[in-house]
Amino acid sequence: MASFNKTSLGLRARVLLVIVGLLIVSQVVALVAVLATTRSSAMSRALDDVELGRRIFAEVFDTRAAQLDNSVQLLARDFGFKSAVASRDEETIRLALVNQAQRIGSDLMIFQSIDDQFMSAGMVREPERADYDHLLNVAISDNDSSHVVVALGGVPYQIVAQPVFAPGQVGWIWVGFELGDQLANQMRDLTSLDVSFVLSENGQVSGSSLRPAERADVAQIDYDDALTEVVTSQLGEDTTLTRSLPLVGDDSAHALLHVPLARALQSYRTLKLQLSVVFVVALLLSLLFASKLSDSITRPVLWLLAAARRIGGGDYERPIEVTRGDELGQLAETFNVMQRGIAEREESIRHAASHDALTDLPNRAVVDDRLEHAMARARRFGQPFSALMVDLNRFKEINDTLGHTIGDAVLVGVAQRLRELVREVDTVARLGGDEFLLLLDDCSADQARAFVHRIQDQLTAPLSIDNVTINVSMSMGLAVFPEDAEDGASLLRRADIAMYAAKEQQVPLRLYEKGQDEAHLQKLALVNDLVEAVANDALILNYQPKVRPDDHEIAYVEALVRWTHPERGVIFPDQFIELAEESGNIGLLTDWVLNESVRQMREWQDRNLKVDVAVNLSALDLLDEDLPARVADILKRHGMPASRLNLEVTESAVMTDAGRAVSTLKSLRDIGVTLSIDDFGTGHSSLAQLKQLPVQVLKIDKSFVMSMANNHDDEVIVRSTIELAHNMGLKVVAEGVDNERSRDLLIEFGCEYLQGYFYAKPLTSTDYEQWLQQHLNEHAA
Amino acid sequence: MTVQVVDQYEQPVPNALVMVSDGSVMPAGAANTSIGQKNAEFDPPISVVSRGTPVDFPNRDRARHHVYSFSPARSFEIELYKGTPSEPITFDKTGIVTIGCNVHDWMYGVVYVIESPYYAITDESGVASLDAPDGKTVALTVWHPDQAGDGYTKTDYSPGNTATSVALNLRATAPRPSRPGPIKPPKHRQR
Repeated sequence: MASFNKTSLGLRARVLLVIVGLLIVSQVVALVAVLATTRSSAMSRALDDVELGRRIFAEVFDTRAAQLDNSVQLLARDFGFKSAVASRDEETIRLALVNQAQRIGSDLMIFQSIDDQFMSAGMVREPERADYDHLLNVAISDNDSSHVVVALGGVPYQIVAQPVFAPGQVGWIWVGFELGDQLANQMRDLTSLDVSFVLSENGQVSGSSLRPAERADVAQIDYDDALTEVVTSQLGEDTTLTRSLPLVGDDSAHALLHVPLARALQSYRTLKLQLSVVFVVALLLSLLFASKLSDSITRPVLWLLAAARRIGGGDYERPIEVTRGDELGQLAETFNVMQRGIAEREESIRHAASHDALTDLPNRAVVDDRLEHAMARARRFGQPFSALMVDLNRFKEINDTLGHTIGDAVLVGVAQRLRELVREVDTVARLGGDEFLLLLDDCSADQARAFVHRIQDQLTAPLSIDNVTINVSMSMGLAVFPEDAEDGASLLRRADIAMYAAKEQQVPLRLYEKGQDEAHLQKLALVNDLVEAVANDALILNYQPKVRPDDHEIAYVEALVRWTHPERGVIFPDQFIELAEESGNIGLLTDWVLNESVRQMREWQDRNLKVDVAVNLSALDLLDEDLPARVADILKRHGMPASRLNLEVTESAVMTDAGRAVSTLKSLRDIGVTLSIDDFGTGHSSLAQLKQLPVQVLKIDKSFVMSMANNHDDEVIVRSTIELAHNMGLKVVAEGVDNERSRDLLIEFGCEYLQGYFYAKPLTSTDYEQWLQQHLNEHAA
Repeated sequence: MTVQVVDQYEQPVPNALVMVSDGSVMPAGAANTSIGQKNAEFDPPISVVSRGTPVDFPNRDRARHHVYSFSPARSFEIELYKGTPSEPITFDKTGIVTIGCNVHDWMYGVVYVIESPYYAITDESGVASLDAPDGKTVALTVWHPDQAGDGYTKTDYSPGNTATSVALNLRATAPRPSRPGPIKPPKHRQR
């Protein structure tokens, strides 16, 4: 059978999920790829921009230095200036310096005489002595001194030095530009890149075009790395790309060029936004499309689902309308075929459930229903109806001798006759086995009796099956509603009781008689009580000794079961043993008696009383193959040897099913118990059969013994039986020895063991012990 | 006598004036009397002039020159001229006079104005050989235009046959403007 994974998602949702999922995955992949490419190209463009900016910066910076150099050179070569220097006209020099500084926008303009005797400064701040020394040192030590960065008073300047010749060198003009925010801003305007100046000496950021927040982070940038590659760093809130270049040959100061990543990726951002919009729109469209698609797939499926549920609910009438030719249409057609198939099978199952397969008659399940109907009708119209129980006689024999095929054919034949003989409104049902029930509508007891009389001949006419003619006869019991019973179950039970009565009395029909059911029920109750009594050890055993007359020894005792019913007093053994046999509980009772007697035997033995015990078996016990094992088990349980147990079976019990009885007896003998044949003389066993039995003791029926004192015939029977037994090697027990004369006769005949009231009646174990003591005392001599 | 002049770094100092003085004075015009300009250079570039000598500055080039000096010993200016100016320049104070041309920055000349007749200019190896009055204690003087301070003077110098070594402190100077060669492109500071 095919199996499907249970999932909580519906088909529609799954189709949607697959389509939308695929679209999302493919779109995301495309989006990511495009964005990654775009980003990397934007990135590389940004890097190119930085490189370009860096080249422009270098160009501009150097060009600017050269221009400054030139402009200062003009001053240095001005004859008037030289003249003023020669004449040490300080005021003229100062004004010339200030004028030139303003013209070129420098922050610093100093003249220093070659003999270091004279200085003049054209700058806001008056330089200090140390500054000049520093400048001079730098100027002397640097061959290419026109371009240096010098910190004066903590402020770094880009310095251009120009010697003044008049015509020998008379001094220097220093022109300086502060590497500050102003210069950075100018350079930014020229390069379109943010610019910062960093001093190598102390890492100080002397100037920057960045905002203060970003500028604070510039010192973190490794400008050495930035010399060779773009460095990414966080400036303020912006991620920034930075490249650096040395401002002068001695690497004492660097310019850092910054591009915010955000600006570099501006185009990328725009593209990202556009692509995202496209993505969302495509997603919405695909959702719409997928929804439509999944609808078109799932709508007919859901429709089929509803139809299947309808069929499952038991609607087999309405077929599904097939309007499509595709797979779903074929599926719907299959559903229709299935629907018809289910309807047919259900009908056949329903029929099989309510009808007997062999005879096709309604079965017990239907009977209750029919009974209800019949009773309801009877009540409404005040008409009685009859329940007629029909049971074949000797059907088991037919089955056993002619085989089940013939047996079945007989049942079918009888069923057919019954159906033909009743009216349409009546019910014929097979209750099981060879038992049939007829419910005769609107039918009193008299009418029913007349009906049975009328059909009797046809019903019992011989059946011819496979050229075999079979005589059939039936026992019938009749109970009438509402006369005999007021409910269906009682009615059937009473019809059944009547049928059994008919069978017992070997007449074709019995009507239920009032009280039969009660007796029957009482019997059933007694069976229950008996089973309960066995279970609760409420039975007792009495023991009757068998005495060896020649030396008065007690050979063994016979255990006899007694039951005192708590309400109904003493129940005779014949009665409850028969009940146990009829109700199938004889095994229970036998087991209990066996167990209790062996237990008692053991108890006596433990108190140094050697008493062997004989136990009576029922005819049915002999048909039980398990009995020998159970006997062995009980002996083992109490630790007693089998030879101490004697089992008595009646002659008639052996004759019931001689084959199986002999087999069981042999098994019992095999485990070591001794066996007696009981009530000998009442059965009809032949000597040949007797000879086969593995028995050691023969018990003469007490009816002969009790009357032999007065009846010569019986005396002869007893004597010849004893002789016969002796001739067969058996010992003999005589039961019913109740007077001295009988005892004397039996002793004369050579009977080995005597049992009867003359010695002792059956006694409880305690009484028996007392009796035994007394008996031993009497015969101690 | 021979004098070896070195600077503070023991490097020979050429073009320095070495002079001994015993009080004798040479007459004006006894030494050089004319400093010409030829091929945009002073000719001779180093000259010794006796104090009081009027010196001509004949221009032998076709271009005009504007010879000047801001030296304290003799400050003068001969504005743009051709040929020999009519008025010679008289150097009547001893000392070092550096002369230049306001038109051609690279033109540079040195004029030592002295009185003593015993003098010489050091050669490329910084050595000067000069005649000196015998058996006298004289003053030895060494001058150079780049000297720091007043130059070298030793008043109780006894000239002999052995060479005398004189150390002169020179100032650091920038390279002089050179004659322009072919025009060069600007030098860029690229990494």
